[in-house]
Amino acid sequence: MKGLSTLKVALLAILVVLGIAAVAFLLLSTKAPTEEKAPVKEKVLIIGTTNIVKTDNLLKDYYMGIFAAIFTHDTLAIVDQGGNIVPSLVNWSSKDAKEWKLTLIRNATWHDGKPVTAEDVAFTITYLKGKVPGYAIHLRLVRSVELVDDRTVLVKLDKEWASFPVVLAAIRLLPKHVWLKVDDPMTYSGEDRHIGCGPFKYGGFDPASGTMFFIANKNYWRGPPNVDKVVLKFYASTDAMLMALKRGDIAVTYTYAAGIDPAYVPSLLGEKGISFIVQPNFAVDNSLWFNYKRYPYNMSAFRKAISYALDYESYVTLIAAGYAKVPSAGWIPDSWYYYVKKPFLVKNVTLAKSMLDSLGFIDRDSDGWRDYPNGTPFTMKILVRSDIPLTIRLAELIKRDLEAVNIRTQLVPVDLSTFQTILEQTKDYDVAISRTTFWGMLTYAGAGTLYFDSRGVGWANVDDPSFHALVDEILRTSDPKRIRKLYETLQDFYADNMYAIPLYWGMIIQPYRSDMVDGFVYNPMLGILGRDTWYSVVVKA
Amino acid sequence: MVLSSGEGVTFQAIPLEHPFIFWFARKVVRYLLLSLTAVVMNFFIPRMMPGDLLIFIFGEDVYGIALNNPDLIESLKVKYGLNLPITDQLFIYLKNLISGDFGYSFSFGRPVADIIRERLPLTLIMTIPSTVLSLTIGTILGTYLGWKPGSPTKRIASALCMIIRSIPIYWFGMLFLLVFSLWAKLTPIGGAPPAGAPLSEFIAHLALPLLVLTMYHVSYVTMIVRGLTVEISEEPFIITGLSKGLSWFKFWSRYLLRPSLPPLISLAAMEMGFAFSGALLVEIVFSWPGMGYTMWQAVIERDYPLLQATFMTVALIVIFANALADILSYALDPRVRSR
Repeated sequence: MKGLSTLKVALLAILVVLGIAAVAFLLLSTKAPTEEKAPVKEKVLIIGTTNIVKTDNLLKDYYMGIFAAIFTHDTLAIVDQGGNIVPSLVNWSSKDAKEWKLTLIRNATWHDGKPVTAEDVAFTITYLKGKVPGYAIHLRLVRSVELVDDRTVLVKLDKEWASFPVVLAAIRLLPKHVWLKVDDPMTYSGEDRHIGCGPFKYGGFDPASGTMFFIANKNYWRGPPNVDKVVLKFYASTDAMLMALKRGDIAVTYTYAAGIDPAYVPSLLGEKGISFIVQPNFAVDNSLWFNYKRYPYNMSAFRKAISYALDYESYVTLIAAGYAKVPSAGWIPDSWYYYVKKPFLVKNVTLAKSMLDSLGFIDRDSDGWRDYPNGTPFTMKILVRSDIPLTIRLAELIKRDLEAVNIRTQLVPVDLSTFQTILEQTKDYDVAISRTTFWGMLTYAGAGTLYFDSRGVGWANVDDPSFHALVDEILRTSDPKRIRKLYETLQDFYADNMYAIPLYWGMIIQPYRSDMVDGFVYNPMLGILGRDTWYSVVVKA
Repeated sequence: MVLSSGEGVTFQAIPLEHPFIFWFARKVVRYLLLSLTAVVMNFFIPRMMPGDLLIFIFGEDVYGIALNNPDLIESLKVKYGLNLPITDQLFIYLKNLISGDFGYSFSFGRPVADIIRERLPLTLIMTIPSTVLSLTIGTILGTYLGWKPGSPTKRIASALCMIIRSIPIYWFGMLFLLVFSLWAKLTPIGGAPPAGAPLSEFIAHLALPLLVLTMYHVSYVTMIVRGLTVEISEEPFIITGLSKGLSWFKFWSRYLLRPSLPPLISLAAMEMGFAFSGALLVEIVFSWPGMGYTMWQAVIERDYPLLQATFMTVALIVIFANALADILSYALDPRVRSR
């Protein structure tokens, strides 16, 4: 060692590390190609998304499941442009909301050429319930599935469930001849796992370059789609995705159950070739959820006092960049067919202060902050999802408004996993801010009941017996007129009790390059990538 | 003791009683303990995080309803071994680790070893050249700026390094994407090239993240070396060196660089660790699917096996780099040998 000069040792070390780098590079560059170059005249639609797929197993990966529903696997029912559940592969009927007859109504074929049968429908429901945890929950009330004839299946439930067709829109039909042999679908990696009966066939996935592609299914029961190939490009950040849109690397962006953050709109407005689809959101962009089982949030008067403290106009302007409306006390957005007009929420600081005063929440120790009626200091802790930057900014505005009425406020930012664990499992929170999804609005008894009912996801943790009774009645009612009436009553409940305060009703903002593509049809569930898009989209040269 | 290779070349073996053997044995024991600690901590830290991994098994939409179905929850806990006492889980983890089994990723639905094998090279291809380049450039620049540091140019350059170091690395990433990818259209926007892509495409994808990471670390190394040089330049042996009338390169290498080497070696080991942590943010900005990007995904989804394995891999690489630095220091620095 003494014989080596200092510089030689240093140079040797540099050579060693460069050598390791070279080996790593060789390892990378000798992999076989998996994606073929597109033929010259193919109509190719390139979509950028931040919904990153980690593994291309539709039953394992959440976003792969979404893309399967969009491209490769037809669902039994679909959502139409008005947000209603309508038949896709099957039609349904029920006399008592407990026994459901599903009838195959399309002459569909699987991607391998075999016909889709009622046996596949019966198998899919049974298989998903038994093997896939998420579906086991969706289908928890299914007692049995019987094959009646070659086009009909009878599903028997444990109890009445009028919203059962909603679940049909979540079921991606699986081919029995592929999955019957698979014991653990979550780990299955056979090549035939991608066989569906949707408008596109699976093309391939390259996780390194973050690219997935799909090829048009010329034998799709509705006819071949307007595009020959769809390429999905995954981006870890919205900023990078929007740069790719500006540059023309992608023709359109896609985010499931959302558009882009309105804060990005100004930077895109001046860009040549970029247009927008702006649609009302069927979900509630953000709400303030009170823990109904915790004092003082269990008091209707307290919740209403808080509602008067909030400056809704500023949320519309500063958070939604004007692409939103001030909401009404009825919580349900006005895009729904059963919406009932209720008083719009207004800021009235004087009223908020006097209501809080009358409840005994006054500043007893002269420190500038309101205290509990018994004199102990009061702090409202607001749980906020940190995975959506917009929500953090919104929470800061809410803190500003609450502090203006002398309520000491503490923001608690947490990631999605922690947020859900606290709100849905431990229930150890005062107040939370979160958005809902279109799917969440539909499921359970519909009209957002999932988020309110303590027996559901229950972010509002409501265990009021009269509310539970109303939800139970909706769950067992199958007459559409009666359901509409019950939804109207539900909105009275929401407005009168203010279990949650809607903060604004936003719009879905969907940018795309109109110089590259046009003809998107917006769908409340799948956004611009609903089934109708494939028959109206035009890829420009 | 003399060992012969049989071809006439002889190697001088180190006698067993040589101080290096004791020193080396001590270091090996220390690093083994450190590695074991890292492995155990990597087991406990993910489990101390709040949040339930079952959210990602059920899906975000139905987790809340699933909680009302305790039988199903319990069966999944059994399936994933989450029902076992934490000590049993630790024992199984260590046992599997010894047999080379890193486990199965909940979120990727694949063996963790496969994911690491696929993604580690993508991070190394960025961090190793970045570390080498930042040490080389930073050392040259640092000694230049530290030698007679009063000139306005040198003051501005030093301030620039300080500014670069103070700005968050992801902001740099976004800025570079904007300038080089969007405006100048010189490089792709994020992602690695497809497998089997030509070298030119690979370089085009790698260029920007590598540049950002290197620039960031160059500023740090430069500041450290500048400080060392300023200190060294006041030593009496510098005057001796100057009086010899050596060329600038000889003076630089013998009198400015050589005394800085031992601390530089320790710095290089630390830089390897910083390069990994910096790479995490750079990989997210550039959608580069390396270890940092994978860690980020694993944290979000509470994927314990993947979290354990990625953190452990990075920890072991940093420990290895430190061990290498120790050996080099022993070889180069007589003060270390005399301890």
